[in-house]
This record gives sequence, structure tokens and C-alpha cells, in this order.
Amino acid sequence: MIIPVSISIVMALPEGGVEKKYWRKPLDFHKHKVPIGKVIIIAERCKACNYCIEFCPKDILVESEERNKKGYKVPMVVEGKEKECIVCRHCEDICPEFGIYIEEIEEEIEEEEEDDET
Amino acid sequence: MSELDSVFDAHPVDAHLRADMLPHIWCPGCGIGIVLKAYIKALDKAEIPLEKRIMVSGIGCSGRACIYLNQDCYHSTHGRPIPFATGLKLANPDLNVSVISGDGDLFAIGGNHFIHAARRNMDLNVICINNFNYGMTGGQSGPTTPVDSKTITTPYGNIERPFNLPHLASSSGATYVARWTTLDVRRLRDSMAEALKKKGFTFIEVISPCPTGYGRPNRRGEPIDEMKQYQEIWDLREDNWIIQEGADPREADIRLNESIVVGVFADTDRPTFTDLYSQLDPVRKKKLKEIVREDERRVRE
Ligand SMILES: Cc1ncc(C[n+]2csc(CCOP(=O)(O)OP(=O)(O)O)c2C)c(N)n1
Ligand code: SF4
Ligand code: SF4
Ligand code: SF4
Ligand SMILES: [Mg+2]
Repeated sequence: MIIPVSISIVMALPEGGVEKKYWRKPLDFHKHKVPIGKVIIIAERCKACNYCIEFCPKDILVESEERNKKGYKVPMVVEGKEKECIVCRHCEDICPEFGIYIEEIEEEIEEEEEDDET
Repeated sequence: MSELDSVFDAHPVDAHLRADMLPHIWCPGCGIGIVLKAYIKALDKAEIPLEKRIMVSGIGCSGRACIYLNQDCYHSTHGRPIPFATGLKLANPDLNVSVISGDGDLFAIGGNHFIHAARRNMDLNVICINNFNYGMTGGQSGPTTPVDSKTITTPYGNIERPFNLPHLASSSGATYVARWTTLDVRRLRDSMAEALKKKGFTFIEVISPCPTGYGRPNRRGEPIDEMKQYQEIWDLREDNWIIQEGADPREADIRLNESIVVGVFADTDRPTFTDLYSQLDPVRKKKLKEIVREDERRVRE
């Protein structure tokens, strides 16, 4: 199960700043689990339409030089961005070839406690 | 290790597909696969049990969707998926019957069936993959080709006014009418799930790229460029969300290089053909018995 990061309301302030209000402070406030996705590409199905590359909100996919049997250049994850997938599954939904999907890996992230202003 | 080493795993929707037939025949960037995947996810979301799922399609690239689906399917003749689906529904009203087919199949050769099934409020879920042309036969113009678009049969630009499908569907009597693009995968899936759960004649139009038949003569560039055009529509909609949600189907005409109105156009309820037919049944049975008795009396006399 994934624990929600926090329940917060973000309000725009007149000066243009942003105030973050927590109406319920999670017990594990300083520590939370964030889902991270592992991108899996079924290379032999890919036809290099590049939809997954273009529409990934985190821009973590790029064209590679590796070609599948039919000669299409199969996308790959940008080096160093392996842990940046947010499991939105947009690539999975948008691929016309049933060629890409996400395996969810849960990662625990430690975070410093923020100053409580309210 | 490269990413390509992890390539032979099964996709999460593979259980619903005849995965051994993949890669499918559709061109790179063709939107039909996106619609099929959204449909599979919608069936699961609407919790339709496997034994009640039935999909009927006609002839065309879009019509081939049923070939890859691992469930009961009926690949009917060109233009006739709605009559086949109607027969299935009447023979077994418990089935959840969907039709997925192309703009040519449903609105040129099959146009008559469409309007009458909507008029009767036949309990069907019709999904039209609108790629503005006859993809399979080489890119001829059809009943949804926008004015001025180029196809192999309209080399100087199309002069015929196209159908406005949401308007046609709602004025013919459909109880649920929506339009999405293949970029709106989430909304498309959720809308399909709503339609699957709804009784009555539902209609969803999906604007879908056909880089080979429609994109090429209209200089849409690479497949990605057609999708980018949908993204512009998307961005536009985020600003005008409310207007677009309650969109008037009469205002949903599609014009070349103009933004496309998407959203839910109609969501109403009225008795379906099967509802009315089942109510009619006892009366008919009684009448039939009377006729038989009358006949018997006459024979005796
Ligand atoms: C009775 C009959 N007439 C004509 C055809 C030729 N034909 C095959 S597919 C098609 C049109 C397909 O267009 P559409 O339904 O838009 O599907 P798309 O290929 O664009 O997905 C036609 C005219 C046929 N197969 N049968
Ligand atoms: S799931 Fe979302 S963030 Fe992850 S690769 Fe796909 S599109 Fe990008
Ligand atoms: S969306 Fe699918 S077919 Fe297109 S490039 Fe990505 S993996 Fe390949
Ligand atoms: S011709 Fe068009 S509709 Fe047919 S498979 Fe190719 S892109 Fe898709
Ligand atoms: Mg078509």
C-alpha cells in the first residue's frame, strides 16, 4: 500500500508567494514512501512512434541507438534518471503497441522536518 | 545492462489480448492500439465479467481491433457491426455489447444502422475511431473528412461538408455522447467505463491519428505531429474546462487546423428497446393465445 505523501492545501498569497497548510499533520511527517516506477519496454513490439518520449511529464525517456528486429529505434531511460519515474503510467496508456509498462517499486524517502509556520 | 535486456516481460493487459499475434498490423503511430488499450482498461474498471463481454467490429483498420482481443468478438461485414450487435443483444439481453469500428464503416456504408439503433435506444456501446478517412483501402475521403483536407480522392481539397458525429448521435437519440482524442487516454478510459455501465445507446468518438492515410497527404509530418496537435487542443481545453464539459453538440463541427471540441455532450436516460420489449411481452403472449383460441373455435364450428 502507498501512504499518501501528505494532505496539504496550497494557497496562492496576494504577494505571489505560496503558503503550505497541513490540516492534519501525518505522524510519519518526516518520513514518507514515494512510489517509483521501473520502465519496461517490450522492444520487439515497439515501432518508434516516440509518443512515450514526447509525452512523459518527467522527460525520462530518449531515443536510443539500439534497434529491434524490425529496425525501429527503441526508447530508453536517460542515464541518471532511473529513479525519476512517478508512475503516472501515461507512457503505458499512450503507447499504441502495448510495448511499454511500469513496474511500481516503493521507495522510502527520508525528509527533514519543515518549519511549521501555522 | 541496457534497457533492452528487460524486454520480454508481459504487458499488464496481455491477458486480455491475443498477445502471440503482436506486434499488430497497424502502422507506427496509428491510434487504434491506444483506443483498444483504453477499452480493455475500461472493461476492467467497469467490472464487466468476462462472460458478458462482447465486442463487434466491422471492416477497416479500426475493425481489426477485435482480432487482437482475447474475449468473445464478432468481426462482421463492412458497415454491419450494429445490426450484428443488435441481434446479439436481443438474443441475450444479459450481454454487454460494444461496437468498435471506423468512421467509414459506421457512418458511410453503416450510417443508416447507426441512426436507427440510436433512435431505438438499443442497449449498445458504440465507439468510433475517427481518423477522417478510409485508412485500410488507401486513404480515400469519407463522411468525416474535414472540408479542404487532402486525401487520395480529394487531391484539391475536400468540398463535402462532414458529419458532426456528436450532434448526429445526440439528435438521433443516443443517451450518452462523448468525444476524446487519443491523447486523452485517462478521460477516454473513464468515459468508456461510464458508457459500459450505462443502459441505452452510448456513443464515443475518438479522434485518432492515421499517419499513413490522412497524415501524409495533409502534410501532418511524423505521427508525433498529429498527437502534438491534440496536445494543443488539450492545453486550450484546460483553460476553458467548464465550457468544454457542457459543450453543445451543435457547436462540435471539426474544421481543418482548428481546435476540436472534446468532452461529454449528452448524458440522459430513457427506456431502452430491450426494456420496452420485455414490458410488451406479456401483452403479446396474451394476444397470441386469444388468436389461437379463436382459430380453434373456428375450426370446431
Ligand atoms: C461491402 C464492402 N464495401 C467496400 C469494402 C472496402 N472497404 C474496406 S475497409 C473500407 C473503409 C474503412 O474505413 P473506416 O471504416 O474509416 O476504417 P479505417 O480503415 O479508417 O480504420 C472499405 C470501403 C468492403 N470491404 N466491403
Ligand atoms: S510512468 Fe509517467 S513518469 Fe514514468 S516513464 Fe511513464 S510517462 Fe514517464
Ligand atoms: S510509445 Fe510504444 S511504440 Fe512508441 S516509441 Fe514508445 S514504446 Fe515504442
Ligand atoms: S492506414 Fe491509418 S488507420 Fe490504418 S493502420 Fe495505418 S495509420 Fe492506422
Ligand atoms: Mg477511418
